[in-house]
Amino acid sequence: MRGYLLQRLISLPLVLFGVSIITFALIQLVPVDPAEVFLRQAQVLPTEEAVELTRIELGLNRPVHQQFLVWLGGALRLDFGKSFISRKPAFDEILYYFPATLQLTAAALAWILVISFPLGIFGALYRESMFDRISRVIAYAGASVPNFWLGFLCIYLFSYRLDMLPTMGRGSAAHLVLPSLTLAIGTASVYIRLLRASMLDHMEKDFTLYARARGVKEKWIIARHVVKNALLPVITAVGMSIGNLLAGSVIVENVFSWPGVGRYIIEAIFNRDYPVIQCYVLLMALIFLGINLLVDITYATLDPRIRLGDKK
Amino acid sequence: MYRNKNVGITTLLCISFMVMLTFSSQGNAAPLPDQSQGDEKMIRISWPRDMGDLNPHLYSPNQMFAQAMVYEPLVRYGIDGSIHPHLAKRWDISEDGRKFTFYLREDVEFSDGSPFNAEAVKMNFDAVLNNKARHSWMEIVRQIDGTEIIDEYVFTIVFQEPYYPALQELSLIRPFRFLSPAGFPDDGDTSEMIKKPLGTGPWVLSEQMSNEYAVFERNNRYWGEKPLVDKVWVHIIPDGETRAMAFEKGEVDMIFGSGLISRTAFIRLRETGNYETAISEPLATRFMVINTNRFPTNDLNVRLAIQHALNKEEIIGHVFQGLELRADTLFAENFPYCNLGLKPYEYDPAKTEELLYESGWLMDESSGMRQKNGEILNTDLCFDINNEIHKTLAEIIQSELRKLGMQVNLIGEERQSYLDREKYGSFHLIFNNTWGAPYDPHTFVSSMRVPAHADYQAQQGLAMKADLDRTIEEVLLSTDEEIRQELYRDILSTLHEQAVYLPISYETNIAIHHKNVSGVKFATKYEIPLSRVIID
Repeated sequence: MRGYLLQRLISLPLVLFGVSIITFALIQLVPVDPAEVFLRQAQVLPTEEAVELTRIELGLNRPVHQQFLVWLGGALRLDFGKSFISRKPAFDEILYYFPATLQLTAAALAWILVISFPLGIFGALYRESMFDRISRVIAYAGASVPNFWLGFLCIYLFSYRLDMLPTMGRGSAAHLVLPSLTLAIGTASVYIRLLRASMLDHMEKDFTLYARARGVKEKWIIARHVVKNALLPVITAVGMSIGNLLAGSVIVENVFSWPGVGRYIIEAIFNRDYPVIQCYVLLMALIFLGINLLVDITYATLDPRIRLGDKK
Repeated sequence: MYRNKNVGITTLLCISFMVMLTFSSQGNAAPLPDQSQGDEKMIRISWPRDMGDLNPHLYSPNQMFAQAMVYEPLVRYGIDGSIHPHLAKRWDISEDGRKFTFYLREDVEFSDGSPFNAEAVKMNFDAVLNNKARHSWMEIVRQIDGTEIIDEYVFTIVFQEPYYPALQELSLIRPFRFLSPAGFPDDGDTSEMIKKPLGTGPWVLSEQMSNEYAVFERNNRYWGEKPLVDKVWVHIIPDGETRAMAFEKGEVDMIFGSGLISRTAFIRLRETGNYETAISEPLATRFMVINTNRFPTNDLNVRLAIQHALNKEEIIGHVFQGLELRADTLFAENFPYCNLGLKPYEYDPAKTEELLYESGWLMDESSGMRQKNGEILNTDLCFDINNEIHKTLAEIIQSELRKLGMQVNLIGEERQSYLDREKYGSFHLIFNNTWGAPYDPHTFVSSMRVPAHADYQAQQGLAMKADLDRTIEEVLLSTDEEIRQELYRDILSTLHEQAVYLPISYETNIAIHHKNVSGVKFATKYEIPLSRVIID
């Protein structure tokens, strides 16, 4: 396990380096010169002369490989350059908006667990019962409804009609309920199905049969053997979805006026704000890698059959 | 048992981490604004974007309505186009029209208590002029030769030439408004940032959370009529539907502006009868530019044919549902020098057919398209894909022109690519807007000479383009009212006759508020006049 961890940690900078190169290359393919966008935002006419001066000012006049090296040098010192639009350090800007998105994701994750675990587990235990059927309908509907529409429905019902929760903004725990629930529903629906299928699968496994033959109580078999084993694939999926939730919160942030990093980054993309885009992609890559590692470790902790990196 | 313990601890840790994260960042968030906080009167409005740093000398991301709440100009622009005293109580213009002397009010101070005087005015002018390149789109910046403090409350600006729209441009929301010396960075350079947004205006920015909200309080040092409410709370709500629901729920007291909620939502809210609504006078013109420099729209007959092919009354009725009025000229007649009695191009499909026939575009019955020398009459209509009005208009225009045998390819792109097309003239038809008061008509007309504009590109095919540019230069430097009027007539009627612009509708602002709000009035397209608003 220690060797495995070491190997992953060593490969981390390499992966991040690869990600930066790919992002840098992809950004170059985007049409429209960022110098021109910068000028338009500043209400300066993008004449040839002004564009040229701005390219020099923003360092876009150098060859791409030099731009990359300059950026890389800065990034190693956590200096990701200044946002073209706000002229503030890109890293500071992202860190300013990031906690709101992190909070939204954490709350969504809590919803995912609260919704999918009971529905998935009991759906499998009481297969084909009314409960199971309802939970399946919820799962299908939840997975099919687009986020923005669900968001508006939630606002209309809970906020406008029932006057239970605020429509938008961030401030109290009540503000968090609808956006996090909206963000969670799609993912939770998938896990209800996944957990149910995984439970059913494990309920038929030999070790369950053997436990029954030994006369172990059914409750104990379910809790100790079936649920625990059925959770393994779900844990991997949950791990992966943390990254997806973080990076995919933009629609929910827009609908609920949640001041997160998603809204900020979309604006940065439209404004061709390269330093911000680059810094964000790198941060997301780091988060994905970190979560992957955590999932692997949790996996190994939960399942003694898995020995990470140990040579046989 | 050991392993069980491990799993238990991991699960506990994970759950506590999530709970911690969920509630961790609540600390810095402000409590929700409740309208009934003691005797304090507060009005809550909403805006789609963050206010920015409120630097009076810069543009985006600073929002104009917020800049106008905090900072004031030397002279103010009246709705009828007239110029009124503001921070300058009067002004003299030298006989040669080059020297403007402003006599400043002596009872004005900035919201931090610093005095407003000629020194502060000079400091602000210097900051703007030191950043000339950024303001080069404004002719006034190019025309200013120098500024001078005559005494504590007298300030002069000398121009290179007698520039008539100087006062109009000094009334603009940016960049010639005044930041307190205490708000300047230590090096006096405001081109990147300022220390604090301190102005002389009726409001003071008291609190701001980026992308969440901004709070403005009444400036108790204000020299003019003080605002009637104590506070303005601006919610940043990016989505129009959410804004409408927040309004209905009573979390927002008023929606004011253009494009903040969909037209359908506005009409629905109006029809409930629960709210007060109003629509402003024409504030700017929405139009389509027809490129004279590309085949086939380089042919005047084709441009005229397009003008006669569209039933604007019906299109506007369908798209704007009465919220915008039909436009027949580039500038509405209530704008200065624009009441010219130009003859509108009426909807006349027969005329369209005749014009196209004259130019040799004959209908091919098998394809239903007009052709000339084996080539189809084909045009590209470019628009901003995220602009719902552009999209709807484009689809209607495409189908209307198709009926007359003209093929229109719709090219919807994200905003920056669309602006690129404007710059390089890679369009036959493209949507645009005039800038409204106080920019229209002079600043807009002035920009027609600059290559980075769609107007410049679209006019390139006109035989008289060079003359047109000369006339524009002449009109800006004219000192005689009558000559100026004649020059404008010349410019605007040439553009009308050459069918370069297809005016669609006059843009308006809408206001919708709860019945406990009163005193809502319209100003220019860019302002939300909140000083006289009352909430019970």
